[in-house]
Amino acid sequence: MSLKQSYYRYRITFAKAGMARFIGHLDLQSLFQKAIKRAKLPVAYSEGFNPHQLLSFAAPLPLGMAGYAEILEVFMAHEVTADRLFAALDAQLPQGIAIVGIMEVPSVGKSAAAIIRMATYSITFSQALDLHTIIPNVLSSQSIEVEIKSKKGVKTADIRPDIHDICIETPRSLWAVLACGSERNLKPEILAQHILKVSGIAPEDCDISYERLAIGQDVPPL
Amino acid sequence: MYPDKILLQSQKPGRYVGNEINMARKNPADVATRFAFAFPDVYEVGMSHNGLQILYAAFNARQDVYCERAFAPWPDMEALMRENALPLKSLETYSPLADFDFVGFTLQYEMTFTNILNMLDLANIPIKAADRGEEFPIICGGGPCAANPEPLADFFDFFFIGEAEEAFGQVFDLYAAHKAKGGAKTAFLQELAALPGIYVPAFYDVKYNTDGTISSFAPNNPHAPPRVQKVFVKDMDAAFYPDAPLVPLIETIHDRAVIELFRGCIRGCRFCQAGYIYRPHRQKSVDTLVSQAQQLIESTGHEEISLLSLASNDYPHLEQLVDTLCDHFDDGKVSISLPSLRIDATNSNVLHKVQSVRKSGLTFAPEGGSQRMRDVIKKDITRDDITQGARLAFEGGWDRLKLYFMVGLPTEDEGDLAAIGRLCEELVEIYYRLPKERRKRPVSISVSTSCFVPKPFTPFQWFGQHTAEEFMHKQKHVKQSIRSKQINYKYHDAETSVIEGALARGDRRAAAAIEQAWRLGARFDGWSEHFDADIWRRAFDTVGLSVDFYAHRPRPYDEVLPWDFIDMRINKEYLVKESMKAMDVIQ
Repeated sequence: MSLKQSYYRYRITFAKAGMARFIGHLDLQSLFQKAIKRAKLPVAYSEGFNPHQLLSFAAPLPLGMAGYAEILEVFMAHEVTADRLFAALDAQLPQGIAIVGIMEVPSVGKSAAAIIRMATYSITFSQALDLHTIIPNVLSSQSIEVEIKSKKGVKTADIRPDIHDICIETPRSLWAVLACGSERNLKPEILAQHILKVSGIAPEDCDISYERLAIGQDVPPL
Repeated sequence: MYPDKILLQSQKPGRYVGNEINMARKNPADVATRFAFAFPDVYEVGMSHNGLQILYAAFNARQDVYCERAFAPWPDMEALMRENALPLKSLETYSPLADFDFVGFTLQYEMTFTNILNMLDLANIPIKAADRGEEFPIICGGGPCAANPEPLADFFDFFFIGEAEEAFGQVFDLYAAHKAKGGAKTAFLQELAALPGIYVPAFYDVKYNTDGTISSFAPNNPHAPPRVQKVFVKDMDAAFYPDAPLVPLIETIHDRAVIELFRGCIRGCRFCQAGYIYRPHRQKSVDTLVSQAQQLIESTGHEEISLLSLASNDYPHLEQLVDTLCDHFDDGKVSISLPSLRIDATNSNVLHKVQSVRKSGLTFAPEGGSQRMRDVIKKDITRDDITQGARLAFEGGWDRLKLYFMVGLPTEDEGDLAAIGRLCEELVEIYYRLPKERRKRPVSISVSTSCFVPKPFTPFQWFGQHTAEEFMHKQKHVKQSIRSKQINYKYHDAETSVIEGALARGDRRAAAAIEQAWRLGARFDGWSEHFDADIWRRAFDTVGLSVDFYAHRPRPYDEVLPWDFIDMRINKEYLVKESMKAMDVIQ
């Protein structure tokens, strides 16, 4: 902790879309490390036998999903203005990844990963659904039991507490604010599959695409 | 780009999208020549290959050429592409390979040959040169396997013999002129055939004796020279080297910047094809290497730089180079790795500088277990070199050693095999002679044996390779010679090595076996999870060829070998003499 106190912490908001959607989480980390290195930024390193750059992501973005306000935190050994950091780093990023904003934050305090509680997703179905009946039903339910498949098997869970808000955008797309983070997390796929199920549509008959519009401590109500 | 739905069903979509740092971006309409650099293995392997980086950058340094890349799709992606009728496309502009002027394959390993046919087929390009009309790209190849291009002769329009860096300029110049004129492919190939370092197989006829050996090999076209001379870079300091290599966005085999210390080898290990075909030995100066290293680190952001060569010890200024690099990167955030360093007293200083951080594995390649065996293969390393080196390594804090040997070498007997185990046991004993407080954990020695594959242009090119059964018998013997629990023994697949052997010394007729194996489903044969020996046996049988004839049959010195027409700048009499000397060692 004492080490980090003397460093400067920056919270970087970035977008990852297009071709960059196919870069996995670990690869993204290595991509940013190299970009920081090319930008010749005074990044801080961990101590120990294998020093590594002090950078961390708030919440991994699933492979293939676009994210428009993802969060990365990085420590610098010397102070850099947010503007300079923005220009230097953005110039080194591949197509599909772009800096949206940078803010210097106190070097002590919880990491972004520890703060994140919610994310807003855009969910688009390949066909129109009766969302104006389904969504109010979802939001007025006390509990929604769904089957969730994991490596360990199938379990039943109540996803209602993890749905903060849903707003219909078009007859085949919606925005949903869902729990996201280390404490509670709801994958948008699970909500989307539930919507298909109550619509009486087989999963193989409808393609669904997802985008993560924002993540944060409190995503503003839709 | 391939549709999202397809990409997301594949194991690693990142293999198929390109967009890497330092990728060449041009408008295909603005260039005279579109070249697709095709690597017949998976993306992560191909992107770790330094030859690709050099040629990609060198081709793209020309304004009139746009070089793009394609890799072999992994079988999961191949299935998706075939199911959805999607052709193989380049990573830069997602253009179908059939739209290019050239598709150039790098020939690094015989067991990638079926992938070449598969990539052509996925690109909707007929696999045989004779079936490709004017509308199809010109298919070319180069790399170490072009030392004997004959098994691939039916599939290719021309080969680069030697180092393509030295020949491509003239090829592109000729092509641009030819394209402007609107000439036919054959006319272009005729002009090409006259250039040094270019082999156009269609311009040569091969005749055979009744016993299947070659009776004559001669040009059938006045433009084609009777012998094809290899070309090579003369001045390594002046040679083109990429200043901004591609940096992949997904993890590859080697995630690091690479500088090339030298080409060729001053040793003459008799089994080693690289030692012969990359002659002469040519090195770069420390100044060149340091400036290239600095440039690479700046342009890539890599935190590791690897010093590439056939044997780093043979670089005379190694210590000076490592010192200078350490000074340049003195923030300690760039590590230096020496993948082919032999440990001895003279360089233990270097060793400590390069690996001060990670005391991971060190590697020795004695190749032969007994001194007699090492003398036969002219591997210039003694038992003392190995034991001394190991002692130095143990004292320096390393406790993981890797040792590489070969089985199936000429004149090898059971004593030579038992010596492998004995040597390794000795190293374990050396470790336990260290004072107890300096041994943090039990020593670990991993021993790996490969199966000897005789290769063209080596003194062993006439040698009859072992059969798979003989190899397996010998592997068992090595295993029995190892008793210590600290030694872990691994061996290469014998059947893969036999097929590699048959293809390495095959003639033109072997093309039929490669094609048949591919039709039977052979892909990624260098990957043990994909290699199917049964397919290859059936393939040879079906087309009436014998693995025995190509792999196991010893050749007399006066037999016409399929690669004799290539002038590799190695005297054949010299190879004969070396071969005889090797056999003399037994007496």
